[in-house]
Order: sequence, then C-alpha cells, then structure tokens
Amino acid sequence: MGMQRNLVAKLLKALSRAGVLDQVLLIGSWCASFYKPYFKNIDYSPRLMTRAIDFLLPRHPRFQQSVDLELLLRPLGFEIEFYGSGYMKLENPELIVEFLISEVGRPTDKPKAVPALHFNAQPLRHLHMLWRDPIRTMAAGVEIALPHPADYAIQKLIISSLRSKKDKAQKDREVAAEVLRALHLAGKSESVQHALRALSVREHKSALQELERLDLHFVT
Amino acid sequence: MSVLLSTLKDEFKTVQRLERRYVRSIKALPFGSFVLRKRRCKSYGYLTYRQNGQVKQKYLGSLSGQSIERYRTAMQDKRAYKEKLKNIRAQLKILQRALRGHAT
Repeated sequence: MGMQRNLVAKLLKALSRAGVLDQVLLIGSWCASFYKPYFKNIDYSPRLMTRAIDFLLPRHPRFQQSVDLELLLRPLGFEIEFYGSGYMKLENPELIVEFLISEVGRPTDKPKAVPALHFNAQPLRHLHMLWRDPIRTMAAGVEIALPHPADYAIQKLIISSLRSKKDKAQKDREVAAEVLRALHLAGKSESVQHALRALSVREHKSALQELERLDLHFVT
Repeated sequence: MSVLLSTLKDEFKTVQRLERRYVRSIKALPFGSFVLRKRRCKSYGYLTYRQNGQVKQKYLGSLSGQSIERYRTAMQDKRAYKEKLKNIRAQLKILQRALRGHAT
C-alpha cells in the first residue's frame, strides 16, 4: 500500500508539472480518500482504494500544450494497454491510470480521442454532474481538483442503480453512504440538496430512490 | 457477498491479467542474454542461454550499430518486465492467501 501511495504521489506530481491536472478531476475510489482534508473535523476514513486511479476530462478538453502521456509516465513504469473498442489505460503493476469523459447523446462504444494527450479516453454516462462544483485540495504537494463530495456521492448512487453486478452496486452505495454521512456530520447537507437540484428528472428520481433504500433521506 | 471480497476478486483478476501480459511481453523479446564480441573492426552478436543445464549461444552475425542498440533496448525492456512480473507474482500470492478458495 505504501508503494502504491508513493506511486500516486509521483503520478500526481508528473501530471501537475505537465499541466494536465489543471484540466481534469480526480474521481473514482482514490477521490474518496482525498476528501479527508475537506472533512477534517469529523471521523471520515475511506478504507477501500482499488488499483485504478481515474481522471475525468472536460467535455471539450483544451490543453495549453500537447503532452504525450505515455512518454510522460514511462519513467514511472506505466505502459499503454488498449481495451475494447480502442480506449486506453496506462498500466503499472501497482496502479492503472484511466481517463474518462462524459458521454452525451446517443450511446456509443467508440473511445473519445484526446489528441493533446495522445490518448483515447473512455466515454461513460452520468459523469457530467461531477463538474457542477469542483473543489480544490492539496495532495502530495500539488493542487488537485475533485468533484464536490455531494456530487460524488449522488453520482455513485445513480450508477449503483444501473450496475448489473450486485456487489459493485453495493460498493458504490457504501462509498456514497459514507460520504453523505460525513457531509451530514459536517453540517453540509444543503450541498446535497444543491446536487440533487442540478440533476435531470430521471437522475433525480433514481437518486431519491437510492437514498430511501439506504435510509439516508435525512440528508435531503 | 461482502464488498471487500468482491474488491479482492476484482484485484485478483486484474493481477492475473497483468501477469499474462508481462509473460507475453517477455516471450516477445529475444530469448537469452545479449553478448557482443568485437573482432577487428566488426561487432558480432550472440544470444546466450541455458538449455538442459548447458550454456548455449546463438550466433546473430555481424551487427550494425542500429541492431546493437535494438538488442540492448530489448534486454533493458526484458529486465524491466521481469521486475514487474516479480512484483505482480508477489501480489498474486498475497491475494491468493487473502481469498483462500474464493479466488474463482
């Protein structure tokens, strides 16, 4: 675990130096662990981080300079691996770096090419909401952007209802519940209401159902 | 099924996939160690390896500077992949122990 954390620190520093971190949100299981400074006065300690570290690109990425991600991360032992219809991941024995992008319009299995990064990102549904109100925090000596915890938790609830694998859905619900409880304890429940208001009708309904199921309606 | 168990199973599958990938990458590289011998003004390459306990050498012929560089890079890549494979196999062992019969 220590080795993995060191590698995450090196990865963040490398991406920050190349100007990539200014444009992306850190999401996924690692994001939950970086919320610790946000919840500094309460007991919040996410326990499960996976091997995958995910970054969310804006819908229309505009990088000031072109960065070859593979060249940038090769010194850290990362190599490109192609998946499915051509989207890429950067793999190392300790960590797998993924770049995701919000999918809008008709569903497609085609990857989204990001020429400025020499990379193909994976488009996924229900990610746009994570861009509503990002927060900034320090990690490994660099500034990173994270989705607002309320958006992160609500998004987890929405995708949990769409998962075909029950255990993955359960994991999403547990992560969401942990963040929502922390928001409630920190007296920031109104941010959950803001996050809910920004959703589409269908997403709103799905999020409310999940909150009801988890007995977390008090946060709304 | 607990969330922890399912996460460990996912990790186990990923580690197995990475192991297969590194084994494949090593197999795609020249077998043995690269040795260069200089005779007069020419460089002659050999791949040295063991077969049934005996040291064998495969003659690669007279090599240009570009070919020598290619073999040297391949040997460096092989060393890096072997290191990665060692790391991933250690992780595989830990996960197998943690899952104890739940691995499949």
